[in-house]
Amino acid sequence: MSITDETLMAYVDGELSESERLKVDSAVAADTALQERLEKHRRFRARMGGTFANVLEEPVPERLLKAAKTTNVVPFPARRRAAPAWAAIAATLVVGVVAGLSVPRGPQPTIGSDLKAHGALAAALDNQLASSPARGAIVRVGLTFRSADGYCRTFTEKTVAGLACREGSNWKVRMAVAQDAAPTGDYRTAASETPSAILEAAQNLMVGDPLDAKAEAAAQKAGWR
Amino acid sequence: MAFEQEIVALLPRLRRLARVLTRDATAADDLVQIAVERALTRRDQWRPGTRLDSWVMRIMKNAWIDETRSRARWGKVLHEEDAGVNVSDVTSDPAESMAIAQAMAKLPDEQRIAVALVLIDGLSYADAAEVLEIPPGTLNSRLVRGRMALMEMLDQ
Repeated sequence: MSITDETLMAYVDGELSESERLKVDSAVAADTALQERLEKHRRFRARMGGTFANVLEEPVPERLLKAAKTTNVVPFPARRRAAPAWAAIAATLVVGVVAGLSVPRGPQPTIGSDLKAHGALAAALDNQLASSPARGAIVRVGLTFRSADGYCRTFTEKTVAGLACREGSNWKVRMAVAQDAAPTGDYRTAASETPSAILEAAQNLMVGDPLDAKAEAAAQKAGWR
Repeated sequence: MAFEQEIVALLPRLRRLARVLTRDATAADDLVQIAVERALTRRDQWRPGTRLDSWVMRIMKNAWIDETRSRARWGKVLHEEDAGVNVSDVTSDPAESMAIAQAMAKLPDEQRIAVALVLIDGLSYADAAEVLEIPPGTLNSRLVRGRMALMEMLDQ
């Protein structure tokens, strides 16, 4: 039986199935020339694997670390844990009305408010799967994940983005931030990227990884319990 | 792990892959920076539950192809004898790494990146094919051809 170089390469790359591997093993055992060829491929793979291995140990330049921590989408807002001083003006300038939310316009996120989601927002949080967003939906769900207390989901709408967590049979908006409306007013572009303040809050609450499509669908089916 | 943290954790691998492709420390980090910035701008296109490393590498691969096609930025380093000899290379065997990278530079781009992903970054065939957005059979033939040519050049 002749064994090709391609097979020997796949062997040393660990890409052969168990039965293919056994075939190579028995052929090699009976053939010193073949054994030599296999060794050659093994040495080559090992040699290649060391290429620029030192780069892995180098400290990563500051500019790359900075690039990895900055989103270009929105400027990183300062974090505020204290209750925002927006209440006085909230009545005048609010956004997010379409989603059934009233959030003061401005860069500071509204945090920890006891807002119960209703209307279009509640419907999206209940029903929409982030893995298959509805086209043209007013509210778009971004990320679904588990916190210590239950499921949470991030969402974006034309003028507001936020984070809501399940409490009993309701979604409570834990955090919301106003976004600039898309200049065209086009709803397809309106539900834009999730602002970093929201993502950061999500990351702080998150236990484990975000749900994948399957887990998300299962959680939805189970009523987010 | 948070998105940004995962990207940070990938930086060493991205830098090595970029170094192999560009053979120049500065050009390599420029390429990584472009890839990272694009990844963050498009983070809503990444689907949680899929592999982040493959996704970012695909972005970097596309950036590399864009840039090498125009040859505006990195074209000049491809022929220079002194390209890529860096102080930072002294920790391992810089001559050996550079000899390999120079031999790889003679391969067609698509073979070079296939070899880099599988033999240097250590991806499986399936993952490398996903990064390159090609069928597994295509990956395999590029890998075999590139590898045979390299073994010849490196006299092994």
